[in-house]
Amino acid sequence: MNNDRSAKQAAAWPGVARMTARAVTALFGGYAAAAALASLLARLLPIAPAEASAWGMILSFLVFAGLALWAFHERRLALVATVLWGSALVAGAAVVLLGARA
Amino acid sequence: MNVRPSFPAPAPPVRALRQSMAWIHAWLGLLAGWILFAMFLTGTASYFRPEITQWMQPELRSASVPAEQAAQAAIAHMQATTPDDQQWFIYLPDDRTAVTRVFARAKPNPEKPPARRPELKLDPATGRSLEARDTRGGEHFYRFHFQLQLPHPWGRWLAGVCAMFMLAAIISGVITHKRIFVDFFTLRWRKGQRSWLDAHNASAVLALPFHAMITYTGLITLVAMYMPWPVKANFDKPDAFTAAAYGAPAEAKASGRPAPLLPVGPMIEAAGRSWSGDAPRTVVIRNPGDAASTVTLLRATGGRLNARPDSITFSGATGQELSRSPSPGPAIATAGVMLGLHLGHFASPALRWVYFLLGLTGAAMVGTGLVLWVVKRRKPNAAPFFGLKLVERLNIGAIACLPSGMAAYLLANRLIPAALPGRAELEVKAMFWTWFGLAVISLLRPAKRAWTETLGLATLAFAALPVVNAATTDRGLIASLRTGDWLFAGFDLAMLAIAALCGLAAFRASRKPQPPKMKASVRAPAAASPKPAPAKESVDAL
Amino acid sequence: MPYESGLISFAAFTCLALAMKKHRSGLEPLVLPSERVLRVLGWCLLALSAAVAVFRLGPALGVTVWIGQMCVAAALLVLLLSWRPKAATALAGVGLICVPFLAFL
Repeated sequence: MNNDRSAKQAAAWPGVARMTARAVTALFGGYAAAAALASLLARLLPIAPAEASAWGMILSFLVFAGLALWAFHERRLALVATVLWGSALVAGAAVVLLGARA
Repeated sequence: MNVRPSFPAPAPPVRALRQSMAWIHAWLGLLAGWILFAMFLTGTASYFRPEITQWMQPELRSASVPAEQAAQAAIAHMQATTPDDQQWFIYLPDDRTAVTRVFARAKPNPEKPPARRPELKLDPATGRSLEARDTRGGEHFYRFHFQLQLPHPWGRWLAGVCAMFMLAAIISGVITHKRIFVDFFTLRWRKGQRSWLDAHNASAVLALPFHAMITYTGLITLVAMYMPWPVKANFDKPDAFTAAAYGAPAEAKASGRPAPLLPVGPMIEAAGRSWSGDAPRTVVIRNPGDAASTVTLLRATGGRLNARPDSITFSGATGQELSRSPSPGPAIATAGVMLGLHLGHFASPALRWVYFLLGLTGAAMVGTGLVLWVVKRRKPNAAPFFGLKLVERLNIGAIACLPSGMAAYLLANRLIPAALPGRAELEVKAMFWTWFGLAVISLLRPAKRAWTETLGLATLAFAALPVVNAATTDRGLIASLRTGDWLFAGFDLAMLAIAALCGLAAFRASRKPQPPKMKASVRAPAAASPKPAPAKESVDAL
Repeated sequence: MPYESGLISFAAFTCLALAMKKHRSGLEPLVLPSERVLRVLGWCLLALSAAVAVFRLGPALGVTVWIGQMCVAAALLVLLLSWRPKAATALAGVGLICVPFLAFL
């Protein structure tokens, strides 16, 4: 395992850049995705708006934690970035297009 | 495990998950650990926020007074001093606080914005303004716990990021720890790295429900700031959400016609009838002396888990009930219960001590994790690399120096003259100068000696507290035991117990390290199996 | 707050610990029941500690108090077990004996 790693470290810079991109994606992309998905859930749940918003807020941190951890588990950085930033964009856009309920 | 930002090699799915989670667990803990340790320690102290405040104002003695009398006395004080205010906030005393606190908000004046008035302390029985030494009291630890002494809003955001790291560290830690049940009761002393891993596992696993609860509910306490988007998705104005969730605040404008404010006693009685006898905790009076005045009563938490108080608003001129908070739906109630579980206001004294002990387990989990990071990477026959030395020094500064800082805050309360202007800020400064100053001074000593000496100093500081208290007030340990003053006696005894704990830690840190037997004991199960590889992994696992 | 719940869960965890091979040594004059008996007894006691707390305090507060006391009991047991295993076992027994007295106080 160690040999494998030191071989990778020889070409360290792209590795550091990739890890930085991954960390930024996990932290900010994860937050954006969690916020957008929680908002979409809050907007679509067919219950009282205040209740739906509260469920969205309560669940958002669990979603964030799950997405952020997955971002460090999945080896394909492109996939991670696509899923996190993509779901943030799509769900966010859906919320904006739907508009507020009250 | 590697410190460089590189990933473990590919492996079969389950092992790969465990490896990636172990890797991220170490990074999450390392980056947030020092702040999380301070948050755990000050948060744990905050379970005794009112008690610490009482101890830090020994001039005041609590007297139990019915809510009606305390409220009426406070209103009489306000009517005599600031009758023309827009709003009065009256925080009534309970069995943990000695005084009534009042705060008045002046009418808005577009030409000359009124100065913010300071909060006043009143005698609950007579309503007279009380003089006591100026101090932040337990409020300081409580505020530091989530604001980290940083300018708003950065402290709260940093605390939120650390809490999020903690949540992710808990999840990844559980996935990483594959021997949760086998090692459930395992704690082996004096076995080097093995012992630190055992201690980290035990403090984490045995109190896991508490750690998960306190971390998640901690995020919920500031959810409106951290995650306002689900509200924005449904409501154009945040006020509309507040009104829908907790009931609309009665924002009646002043009519301009004067009308006397009715006594609040009957309103408190009426509220008690719908609150199964509970008293109000807070009384808010708008437009006092006006025909459109309102009196809003907020219910005391009592033994209920939900920390969002029910409220009833009465007309101040007629005494009629105007509105009351709606009974919350499942989601709002869940959020309220989460808030309540975090704050622990519902807890009886015995349960509060359970909270306190579990909070200490949390600090122990973070602390042992940080130490483990260093112990695991230290090579017996090699000079430590820069990162290792840095982390070790930060560990000493964050873990071993903070207790002395907290003790210094309490000592400063007794040693700074009670009448000195600006003494409250000096107390706070005493904490941070001691904490960070000690961390800097400890750099001059070898790491091992630094652990022993800083922890030894914390022992002395905490042991000195009852002595200094007895010397500077008439409420020393012996006097309070004799008069049955359990708050002061309990506080002094708790300080002695904390001193003993710090002393034990200092003593253990001073002992010669055991030869690194851990390799052998960890390898033992692997020696029986044909493949030696898993042994390495079981150490890597955390 | 009923302390019975914590005392019972302390005894429950002691049973569960002694049902594991690696915690059965060093208790010599004591003759332990078989691992299986201890395991069943441990789980039953744990269920009892939950029932006591819920019965005394209602479901919401009861479960909260139960989990809190259970965590503290487990942490104390592990500390004691690593230091004085015999004392831990004895304390579990003494605690169980105290339970009925506390319950009728």
